[in-house]
Amino acid sequence: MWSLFYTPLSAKDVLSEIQERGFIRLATNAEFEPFEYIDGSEIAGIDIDIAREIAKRMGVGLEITDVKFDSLPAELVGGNCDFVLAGMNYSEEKDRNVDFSQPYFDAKQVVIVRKDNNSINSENDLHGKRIGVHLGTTGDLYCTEKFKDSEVLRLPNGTIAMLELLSGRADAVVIDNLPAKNLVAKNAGAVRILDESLFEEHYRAVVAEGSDLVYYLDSILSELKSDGTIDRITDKYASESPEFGSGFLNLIYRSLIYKDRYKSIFEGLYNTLRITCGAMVLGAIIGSIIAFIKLSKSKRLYMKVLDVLASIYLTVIRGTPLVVQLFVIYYLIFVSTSLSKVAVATIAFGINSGAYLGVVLQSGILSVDSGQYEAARSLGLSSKDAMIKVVFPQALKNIIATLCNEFINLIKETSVAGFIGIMDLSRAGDIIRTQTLDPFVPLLTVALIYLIIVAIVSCIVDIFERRLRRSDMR
Amino acid sequence: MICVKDLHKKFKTDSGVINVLNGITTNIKKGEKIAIIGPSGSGKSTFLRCLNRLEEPTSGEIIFDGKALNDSARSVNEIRRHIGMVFQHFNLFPHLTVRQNITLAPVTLKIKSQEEADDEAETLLERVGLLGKADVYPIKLSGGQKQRVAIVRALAMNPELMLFDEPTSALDPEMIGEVLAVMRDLAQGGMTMVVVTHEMSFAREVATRVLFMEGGKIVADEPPEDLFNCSQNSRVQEFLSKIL
Repeated sequence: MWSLFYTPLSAKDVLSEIQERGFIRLATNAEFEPFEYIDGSEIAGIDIDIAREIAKRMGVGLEITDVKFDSLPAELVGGNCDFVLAGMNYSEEKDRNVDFSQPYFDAKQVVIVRKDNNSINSENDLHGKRIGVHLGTTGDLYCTEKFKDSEVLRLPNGTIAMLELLSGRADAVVIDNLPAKNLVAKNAGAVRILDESLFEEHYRAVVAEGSDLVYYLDSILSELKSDGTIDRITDKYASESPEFGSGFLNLIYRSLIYKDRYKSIFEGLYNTLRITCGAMVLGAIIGSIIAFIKLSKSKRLYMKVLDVLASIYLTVIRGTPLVVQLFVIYYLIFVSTSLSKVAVATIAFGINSGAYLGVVLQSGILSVDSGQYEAARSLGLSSKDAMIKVVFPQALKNIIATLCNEFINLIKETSVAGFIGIMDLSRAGDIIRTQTLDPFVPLLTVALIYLIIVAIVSCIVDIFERRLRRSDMR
Repeated sequence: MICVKDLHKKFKTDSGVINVLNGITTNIKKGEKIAIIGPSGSGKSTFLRCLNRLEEPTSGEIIFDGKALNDSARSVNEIRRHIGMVFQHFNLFPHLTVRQNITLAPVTLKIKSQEEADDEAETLLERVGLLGKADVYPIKLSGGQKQRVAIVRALAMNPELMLFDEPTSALDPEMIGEVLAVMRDLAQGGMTMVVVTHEMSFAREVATRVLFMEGGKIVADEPPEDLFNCSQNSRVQEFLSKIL
């Protein structure tokens, strides 16, 4: 059900690589219940159980990566995973870049409407309406193509699409039938599925183009189909639909406590703090180097070259979106690395932050009267000592509020890390939201945590600033 | 102590090149107290700043104790230890207390331990009557007090030569006296001093030699009694007639 636009690497002997490694790497997007979703703090779902069966029958372990669905093709093409199970369909366009297995599951695209809506009863009624779809799915492609006179709302996942439907901002939701069943079960009484489905599709496993893994997957998948394993797994997930009472306390219980969902929040908080602090340190180092280069009056050629490079760095980093920088660093620069995702994200955010900190530091140093540096030098201090002991402490006092701002921005910007599948604080909230269909408790919880972090940081900076300003008291 | 040979300094600005120093040659001997006077823009301060290389000369030579001041950072830092400088705007470090201002350089350069430097700072502060201000920040000091601390800060490096760049020009009139008193005291103690100043009475009384500069050149170089009383130089006469 995904569309892919990436160019493949050359073919290789993936199978023996997996055997040698001892585990097979699956990439998926855990926002597609019941095929793949976060259950508590674990990824679960039909595709995940199928992947486990595949790994078992191959006699190897299974490693699962959860990324934003936009990133799945890049994971395959970049060689970060061996195969993708994410409810994908065959299409000619996609076939140029990746290879597909035989189908392992047959699905239909269905239409969900509110119960009180009697104006939509067939596909034709969708013309001129507001249709919620899951961005990048076949449902999205189909509706965008077919209903040009309608407003197609391309949303990040099916749950959000449902929220749009429930709140009346969308008239219908087009989505795969099995997730539709779960979504409707969670909102029993409010919505219904139209009898007429839009079209049928066949989910297939996907591998990098030319990978020999595809033949192996074909044989295992047909085995799983013929011995009833896939049916068993599907039945298991279709029947899971716990009942909750209504009311605010129940909502909190469902959002935070049931199935240990708070654990996602803690994991997200831990990652957010790790990335932010690491990036701030790295950014400070890079920023200092940049400020040093920009402020140097040296006429030597290599300093002039560095100055040009620093200017290019500042322009590129400050002139492009952070999420693009993260993608480039993760998928192009650190494509084959043993570094963890969190480490790569920290590097990416650090590089980004370095540009902003560099400019702040530069202006802070320029704000200190040149007589201070001269006085220090006239006493025989080296330029390094003069900067560290005389200029920098005064510059710091002038820029500390801006630095605090930068840190606060960084904390919140780390939410972009979710795009490469890191469970940060925002993504933890997103995932709980897709599970419970209630946007408010997880969102407000996450917001409250951000607020508390920022309040603590501001408080610490305040104390520090007051100490720096001691010398200003008359 | 210092030999200056044919010193030139050009500044590049947007409107072209300005020649600030046009060939300065002079010798400064140990124990001399030299006052540099002259109209503004004549290059007095630039000349003074060339002496400890805060300003990079365009050409010419400066030899300090037989060693040429060349470009290498180490030699410049080394020579600056022996040349104290006092600025028009004091340039005390506002983020440090008076005591820390004074001890920063000797301790950082590992010339003294912190305790030695503290003792020395107290002795020097007592000499200028500011012992009670050792632990306050510069913002609490008056202009005259700041300049006295700045002089102490330079003295804490035990310099052989002290440069003063218009040390009283930024002061309120009632505070000029206290700073000049400290300088007078210093002169009596035998310190070699070069003072750019507009205080003619100080120049007349304390200096052993007065350099009159104009247009980036030393126009007159005479003992103060000659220069102030019976200079034959028409430029000097004109300048003195304007300010006295």
